[in-house]
Amino acid sequence: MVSLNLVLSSTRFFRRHPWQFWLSILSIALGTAVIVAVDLANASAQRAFALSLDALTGRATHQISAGGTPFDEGFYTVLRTKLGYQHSAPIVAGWLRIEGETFTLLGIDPLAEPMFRNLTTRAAQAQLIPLLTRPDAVLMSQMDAARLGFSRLDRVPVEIQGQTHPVQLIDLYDTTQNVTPEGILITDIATAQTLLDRVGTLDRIDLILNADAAERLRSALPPQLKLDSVGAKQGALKQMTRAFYINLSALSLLAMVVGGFLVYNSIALSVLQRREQLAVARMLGVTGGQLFVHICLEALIIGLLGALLGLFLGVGLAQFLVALVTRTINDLYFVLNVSQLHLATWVILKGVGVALLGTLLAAIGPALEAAHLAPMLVLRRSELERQSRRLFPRLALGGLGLLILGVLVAVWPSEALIVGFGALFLLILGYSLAIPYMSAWLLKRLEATLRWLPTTAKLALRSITAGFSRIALAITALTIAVSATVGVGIMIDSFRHSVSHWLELTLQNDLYVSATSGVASRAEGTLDNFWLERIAHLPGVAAYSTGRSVKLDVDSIPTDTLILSPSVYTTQGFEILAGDTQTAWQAFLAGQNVLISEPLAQHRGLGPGDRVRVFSTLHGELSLPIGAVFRDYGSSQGMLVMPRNLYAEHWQDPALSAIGIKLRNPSQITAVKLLLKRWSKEATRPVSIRSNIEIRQRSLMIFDRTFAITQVLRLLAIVVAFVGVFSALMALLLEKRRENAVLRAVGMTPLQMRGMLLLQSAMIGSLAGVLSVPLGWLMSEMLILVINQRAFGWSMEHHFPLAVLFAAFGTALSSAILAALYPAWRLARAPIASGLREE
Amino acid sequence: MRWGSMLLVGLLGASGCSQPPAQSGLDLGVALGGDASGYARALDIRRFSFPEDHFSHPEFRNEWWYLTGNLSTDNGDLYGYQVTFFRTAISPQRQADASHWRSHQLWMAHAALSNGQTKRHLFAERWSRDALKLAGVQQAPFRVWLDDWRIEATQGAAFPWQVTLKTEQFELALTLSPQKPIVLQGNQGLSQKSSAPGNASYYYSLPRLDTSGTLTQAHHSMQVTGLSWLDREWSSSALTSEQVGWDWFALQLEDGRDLMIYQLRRKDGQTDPHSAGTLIDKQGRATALQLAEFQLQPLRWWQTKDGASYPTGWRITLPAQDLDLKILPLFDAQEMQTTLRYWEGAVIVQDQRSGTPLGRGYLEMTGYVAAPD
Repeated sequence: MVSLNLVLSSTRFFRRHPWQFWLSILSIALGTAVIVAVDLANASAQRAFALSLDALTGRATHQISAGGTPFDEGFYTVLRTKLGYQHSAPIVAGWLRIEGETFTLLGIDPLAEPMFRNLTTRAAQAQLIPLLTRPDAVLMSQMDAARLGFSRLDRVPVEIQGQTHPVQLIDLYDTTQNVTPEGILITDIATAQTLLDRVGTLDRIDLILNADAAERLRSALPPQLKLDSVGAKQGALKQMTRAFYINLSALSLLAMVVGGFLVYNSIALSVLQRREQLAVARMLGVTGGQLFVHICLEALIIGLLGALLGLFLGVGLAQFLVALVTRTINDLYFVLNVSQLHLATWVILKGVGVALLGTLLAAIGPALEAAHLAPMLVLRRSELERQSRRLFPRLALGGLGLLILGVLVAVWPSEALIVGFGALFLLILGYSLAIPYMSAWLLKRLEATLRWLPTTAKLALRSITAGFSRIALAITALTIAVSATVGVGIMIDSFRHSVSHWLELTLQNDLYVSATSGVASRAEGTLDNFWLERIAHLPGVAAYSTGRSVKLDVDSIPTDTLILSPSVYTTQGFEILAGDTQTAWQAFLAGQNVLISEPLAQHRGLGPGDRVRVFSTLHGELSLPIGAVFRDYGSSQGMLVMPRNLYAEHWQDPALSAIGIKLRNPSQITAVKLLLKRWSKEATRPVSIRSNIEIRQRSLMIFDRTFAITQVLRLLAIVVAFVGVFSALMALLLEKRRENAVLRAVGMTPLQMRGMLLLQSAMIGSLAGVLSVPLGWLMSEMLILVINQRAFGWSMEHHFPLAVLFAAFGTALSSAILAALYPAWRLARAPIASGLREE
Repeated sequence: MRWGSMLLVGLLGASGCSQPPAQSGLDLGVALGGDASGYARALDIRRFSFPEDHFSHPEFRNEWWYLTGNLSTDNGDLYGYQVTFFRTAISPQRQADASHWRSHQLWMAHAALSNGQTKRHLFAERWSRDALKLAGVQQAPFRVWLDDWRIEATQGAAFPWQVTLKTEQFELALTLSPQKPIVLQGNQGLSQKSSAPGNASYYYSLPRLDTSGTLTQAHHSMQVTGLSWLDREWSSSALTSEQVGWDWFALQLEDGRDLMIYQLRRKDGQTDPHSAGTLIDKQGRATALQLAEFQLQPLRWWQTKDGASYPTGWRITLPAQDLDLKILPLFDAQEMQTTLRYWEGAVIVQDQRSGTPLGRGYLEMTGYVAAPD
């Protein structure tokens, strides 16, 4: 009976305050959605990565390779006919594009495959004869075909190294198994060799071996080949993307914090508003325990509804985020195709769990309070405010403690990224606990200074102070959201500034001729031979340098390597961070050392004077000294730079990937570029000719694209905060119905009333704006010095743009004012009589 | 007449069209019939010449080197073995391509060992394409190989030949020397398999090869001796869709005679009139046998775990030769559970009435298992 009454009272409350109900649901839904979306995008990308790794390496335990360069296919025959390793499968793999999407072309021998890849085996054996006999036969997955709108037997143009070849999709392989990797085109090894222009070579040989057989094989290998265990190779690849995923997780953490505030805010409000009713219920004999359980249950139901709605929103949002995540991975790391959302159970459980837990935690305080209400006594608002004010200093003190702890954790000498995130979390939590106290203090100062204000303005200020306990929550949520935009904004700006500066320094030449691979932005192709000769004889060329991009196994990990033949200008393009510039360059020019980029030094714990083991195709393993560490933002995994003369000694690869041209007279750039463009028509391999300005613009464009996802999440944080302010204002408005009616009755015009509310809201926004700056700055410091350094190995110059500060203030202010528009409209329309009657 | 070739062609869908193969991939008639256009056909009697005919005949679609044998150790343990190389062309011509991997010839090899003591039948299968010297036939010295499995001569194509192969479970290193000259099967080597002209193969055998060497199992090597039988056959089409399978016997009798008999079974349960055989006397003189001259009668059936039944015991009667033979398997479970399934196993020959041992041999039975999906 009692519980029924309570339920009725709850339903009646929410029926009378539908917006309160829906806002609670919406707040929880938004919070859940952001968490779920980020996690889903993250999980989908990781799963796609794992699947494609799996599809590409299959059950292989070991791989034979030449450390990244193709090797003569003859060894495969030796392996099978002389050495007797029949669990071996040759692979030729490369990239191609179909309608702008990047695919991996996997050339296999279907007859050697059965041991290795279930999927490819099934698919290939069903089409064995056409696959083996037809030079244009490829297999595509049903999923990819459906996405691109292809059907079986369609002829499809594919772009390989800038040239278009027609192929036929002789079959679409099964994707019902739910373990199908995307973006993999399967073909016979002969077709792959011809299409990719790799006749006579293999990229690797997959093997299934036990440890003994591996040891025996290792000793039988010619010096230019090496045997690696697949686990080690995959580990290196996974390591590469780890940092990126962790950064995404951090953003989801942020979403969780902001979402949590929001949930707390709405639940606390709904309880606060019913204090009278609850007291009456106590009077009617409801025990404190019953009230407590009732409020918690009510919160849980709202939480559950919100979480479910949030799941749907989150899945929708994730579709969008996945595209951004994939883009970034392709720009920064390797080719990955993700179009399928992977609805991992843990992601859903986590999203719902956090929402419910947040709701429950938020409800416990108000529920406890309700349970302790004296039956007869209804606490006055003023009493409540007094109570909460006493709480603020204590909260602030606790917050300060957490802040200090956060800083201590941040400076703790650890390379672990998770520790960095822990510090960041402590920082945010600590600061947010201190926000109510700080804003109350600021408000008091403001009131004291602004005595000359008109009455309406004073009223507005006072009314904030009067209902401060709930407004404090809105301010906190808004502050955190805005500070996140400040923090990330400063970090990105510093980063962009550093990258831009680095590009300016690095791009010493006026024009660059580079071989594009047609995939992502890397210059991994090979230039035609005529380029160097012609450029060398071109009048007006002051100097030129050449580069060759290869992937070498450095300490057994495939590493981007630049083979550099420097010009006199080249050395100015390197900003040496560690090591003696002069001696390092002398040794480099003599072919006696290598240079490594900052991320490589950071990730592998290397520095000047250390040695790296590099696998050479002519002489096997070499041990090379590191001359210096240079600044580089080109590769987050790190890069090694090797002098051309050293490379020529140990590798048989005279090809070039890029030539940089310094002109005597920079005003000739356009003319020379035109000439080069004309030459490029004779080129058999795709080439791009760009001026240093174009490259800079392009690089920064990719940079911006990389951070697109963070922009989206920042926007989401703001939306969440906006909802927070909105609900706080609505609550305030309803609570003060009588008060407002009195004001109207004594002659205030609707316009004045509106003005007052907007002013209040502007006040809230300004407070949040001001308070968000220090936290934002702290966060940016943390992101730059701790997170980025640990995740990517990049250091950067701090850049504190005023624009970011103004933007933060503007964001806080405008979102607060926007949030006030609807409440203000309602306020002016509220009937005076009924408002007064509530007495 | 051997099963393996059908395996290949059946598996590969009979012809190199771009349409997916029909699921009736194991209809023997379609498999060994099919569209043979573009390939050479076994239409007429030809002149065989050696050693050239030991080598490959790539203008024909299918070809095999089929070696089976019975071995014994010093203490009387019995073993049977099979080593087979199948070549099949998946198109009449090689597609022009810069890649050395492009090939229109595929190779499949089967190896099996039947252990009479443990009654265990071990087998392995290998596949390759005729490219990069991964598999193929070489003339001097003669060698047919796939990966590290091979049959080869040391000088030219002269005997003795060596068999070398290593699977994960056993190894064989055997030396083969013929006791009898080459026997041309059918009509001077032209073996008609169904009535349509060209549905035939060129077929010769080395029916009695002295065999000695080493058999290794689980790091334990033993000396073995015995007799082997080599079948060589090439064709581009042979069967009609009416024929569902066959039972093939290669028996080496203790009196020095060798007997090859096969019956082709039809869909309607009848024995096809093209069933035939050859009796080879001690000196190597061959007498062709027509269906009317022999009778085959199943004595016992053996069922596999998944329900397929093979007649593993037989009675063979040749009234004119006064032969009444009882054929019993070394043990029942000698099914080749390879990509496609057949029964190929060592058998013991007894006198039907007295039970006196008369010799040993090999039995092949096909068409008893439905095609897998």
